[in-house]
Amino acid sequence: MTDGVSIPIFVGMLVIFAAITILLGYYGYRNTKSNESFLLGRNKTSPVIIGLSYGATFLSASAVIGFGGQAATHGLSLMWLCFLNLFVGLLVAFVIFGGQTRRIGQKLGASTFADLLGKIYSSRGIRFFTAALIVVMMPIYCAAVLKGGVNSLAVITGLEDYYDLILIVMAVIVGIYVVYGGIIAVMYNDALQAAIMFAGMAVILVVTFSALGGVTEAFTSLTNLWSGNAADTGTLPGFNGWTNFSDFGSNEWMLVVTTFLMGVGIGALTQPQLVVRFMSAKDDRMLDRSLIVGSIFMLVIVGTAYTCGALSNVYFMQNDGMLAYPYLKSLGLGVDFIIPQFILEIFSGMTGGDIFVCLFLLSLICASISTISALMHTIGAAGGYDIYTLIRNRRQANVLDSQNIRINRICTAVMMVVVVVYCYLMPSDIIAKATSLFMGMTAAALLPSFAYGLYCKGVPDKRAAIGSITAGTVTYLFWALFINKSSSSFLPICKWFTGNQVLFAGTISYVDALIIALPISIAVMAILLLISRHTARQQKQVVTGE
Amino acid sequence: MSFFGLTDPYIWGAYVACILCVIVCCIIGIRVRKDTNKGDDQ
Repeated sequence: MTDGVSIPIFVGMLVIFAAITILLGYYGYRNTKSNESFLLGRNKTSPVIIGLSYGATFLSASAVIGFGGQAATHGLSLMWLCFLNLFVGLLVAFVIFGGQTRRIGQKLGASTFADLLGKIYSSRGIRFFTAALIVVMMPIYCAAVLKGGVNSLAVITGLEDYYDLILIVMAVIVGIYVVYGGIIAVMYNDALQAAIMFAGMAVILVVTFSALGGVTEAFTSLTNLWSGNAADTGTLPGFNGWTNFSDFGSNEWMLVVTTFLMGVGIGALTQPQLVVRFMSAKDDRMLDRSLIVGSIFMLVIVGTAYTCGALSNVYFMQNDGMLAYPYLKSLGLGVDFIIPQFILEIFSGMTGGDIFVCLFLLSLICASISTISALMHTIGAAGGYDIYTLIRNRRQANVLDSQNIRINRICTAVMMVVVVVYCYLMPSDIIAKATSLFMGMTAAALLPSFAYGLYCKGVPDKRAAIGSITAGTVTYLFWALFINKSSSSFLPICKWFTGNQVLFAGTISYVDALIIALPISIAVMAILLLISRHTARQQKQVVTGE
Repeated sequence: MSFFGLTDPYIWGAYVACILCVIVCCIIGIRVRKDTNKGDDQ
């Protein structure tokens, strides 16, 4: 790695940042008087806070480092993910799902995503399943984000020897403000972190284009890099260069479109940590107004990461004589380090470069901990509120939700330890794939039930929802573990049974599980709804004697 | 057709789509803000 980080400047920035973070955590603690304020904090939010918090939670180090690195490898096709993030993850999520989620959540007195689904369907089973899905699957995503942030930080600063210390300090800081400050501290810190991320990424975009001779010159140079030979570019057959879309139906197209674009693009709609942001708003106007801040923020962060990721190929070729992927490989680093290495090199020797590199590093930390804090709050609430309420009510024949903040706090702290342990067990270079896996899984299992529950007229059909959730989950797990090459690497069950990584070779092994599981989940729900309607009509005919 | 050096419509189309999406989001947010200023509580 290029030696470009001024440790004194970075430590100075970090100390100021940590102090403000702890102060905001204390502000959250002072304003967390009840379990409702720990879980939702409705009276302490504003459109700007919601917009920034939503954006910062949505876009983690995964978007900047993970998908930025993937854009360097697979090219500007990833800009469609930026569009899907904006269109599905923001516009559709806020306009179609947000208002209805907020209204129904408020009407039913729901405080978490699992609580909302359980109350919509009057089903403890659905609530338990959703909470269990969060407690089991979300730590994987959370650990990937934490590990990605700490890895980059340790390598860029050259403090690899202090990897364990950085990991634990970061986890402890996040743990303290989430455990004590609840959602208020999480959202206010998100807003602070979003502002730092915005400043850092805007500078990087301007510097990249100016270093490469302007917008048109930069894109033309990127186009000219493609010689038609995809060897050692980290791509699959069907790749057509960084400024062209891959061949329809090819292995490259399947990976980019089904895993990166669809998996993350659609999956955003059922992210429990994002749904809570809707329920935190006081009214629909607040949600609509937060679209202004949220959309500009997301365009700058994601657009910059993907554009600069792809353009890093031009920079590395001009300065190091190699494309991004082979260059990082020659340094013994993976795709997740392309963006950090690019930042280090492009700012080295530049006036004030040290400060900008430190600003980027701080942005990276912000991107990581804004997502980790929201995920930890969601995991803690799923365990300490949803599962605890269900277990307690079963024992005591109670029907009321738990109001015990202490249980939420203990659960959050325990899960933080679990996440740190996960970090040591996970393979490297998995940030983008772990994100896609978690988002795809939740979408396949819960999206049809969530959408139907929000918009159905009358009493929602519990049987159809359970059928859809079961079909989506089983199909997703089977496809992810036995058919898809990239997700089967997480838990190599197929290899244990058959000796092969996947059951079938060829293009099918690049099709993401979501593409199969979501339509099946929707189809099962539609069929069960039709059967229920038909049965109800028959019963009515029997009763009326027609 | 070239858009800042990008010739594949599937690529420059993504940039155009992103910008249009942000414009729509801003219009929705600004319209609500104007409504709020008029005191039109719905």
